[in-house]
Amino acid sequence: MLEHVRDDELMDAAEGTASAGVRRHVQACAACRERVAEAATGWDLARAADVPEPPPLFWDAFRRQVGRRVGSERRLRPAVWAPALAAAAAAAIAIGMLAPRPGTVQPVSTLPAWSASLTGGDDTGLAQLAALDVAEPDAVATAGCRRLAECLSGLSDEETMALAEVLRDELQAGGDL
Amino acid sequence: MSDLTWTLPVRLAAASGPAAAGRAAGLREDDREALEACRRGDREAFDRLVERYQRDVYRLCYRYLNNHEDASDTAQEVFLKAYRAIGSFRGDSAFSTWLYRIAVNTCLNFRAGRKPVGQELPEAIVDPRPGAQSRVESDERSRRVREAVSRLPEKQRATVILKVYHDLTHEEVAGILGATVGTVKANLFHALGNLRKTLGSKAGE
Repeated sequence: MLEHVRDDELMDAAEGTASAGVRRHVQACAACRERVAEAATGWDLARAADVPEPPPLFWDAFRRQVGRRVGSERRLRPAVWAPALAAAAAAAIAIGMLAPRPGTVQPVSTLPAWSASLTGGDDTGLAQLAALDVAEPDAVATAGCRRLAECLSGLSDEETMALAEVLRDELQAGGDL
Repeated sequence: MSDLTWTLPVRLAAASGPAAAGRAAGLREDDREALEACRRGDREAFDRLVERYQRDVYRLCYRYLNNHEDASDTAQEVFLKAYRAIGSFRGDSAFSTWLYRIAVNTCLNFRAGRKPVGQELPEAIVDPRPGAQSRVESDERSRRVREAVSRLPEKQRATVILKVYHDLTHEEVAGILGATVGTVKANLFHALGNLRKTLGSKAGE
């Protein structure tokens, strides 16, 4: 009795890569030969089907849309700035600990306005933060920058605003230490 | 009979497009450069990758979802996922193969979450130019084949899309689908037989 070959071997036969044994079987077996022929016809039919081409302006619009989504992703992506945020928050706690005891601590409402720039000479909160620099060296390293100031300078406006919120909260909490 | 005469005539046809070029030599050099630039935060580098592969990804999604709107939305999602995960791409395979894996998973998730709507780009506008009639017939044949492919069981459909339309090797398809090479070949064999039965000997029958 003729023993049929496996379907993956018949696929090899349809592709012309079958072993000599499989080829001999297919030549001798009408049922397998028929199935291989059907697969070959199915391949031809499938290959003939195109996908409708989108309108000409579609690809530019598509790329722009992906770019926009990637841009907003970059602004919000926590992986990039969360470690910097954590480092800064830790530094903020340290500021709180180093600051004068309650009673002499400046009220939160009088903190200098936060800005994206780390060079503002009148920004004492930032100056303190930059001076501490590597309060959390591991977190800073995780953020992919050598110094805390370098981490902070890479933040977008939105990230800076989020950081300012965290710092404000931590300083408030630090005042009660 | 002297030899088998029904082997696939297009099997060895040279694959074209950026994806095919990438597979011939693993990770393409221009992809490698773009990926390194992406990791340094160069957004334009990712834009170049999108431009290079958007057609391949869109077409794969279209084959899966069978309509323009869903294919466009899903293809965008594929690139967004790729951007998020680009740090984890080790370059062991062609970038296109990695993108296809993301695309297949995204399409599967999309299909699982939504009933197919079957909406396609308008194709039936009467065109008086020479050859317009044959183009309409060709479009109709293509539509019938796409519908037949979309009705294949999930694994057979994935195998046909990746192997027949994107010219991947059996090994690459197996890697993307998490199957053995033997399973991929068997699935493809069943799928092609099913298409033949569904469509007749000609898609226009």
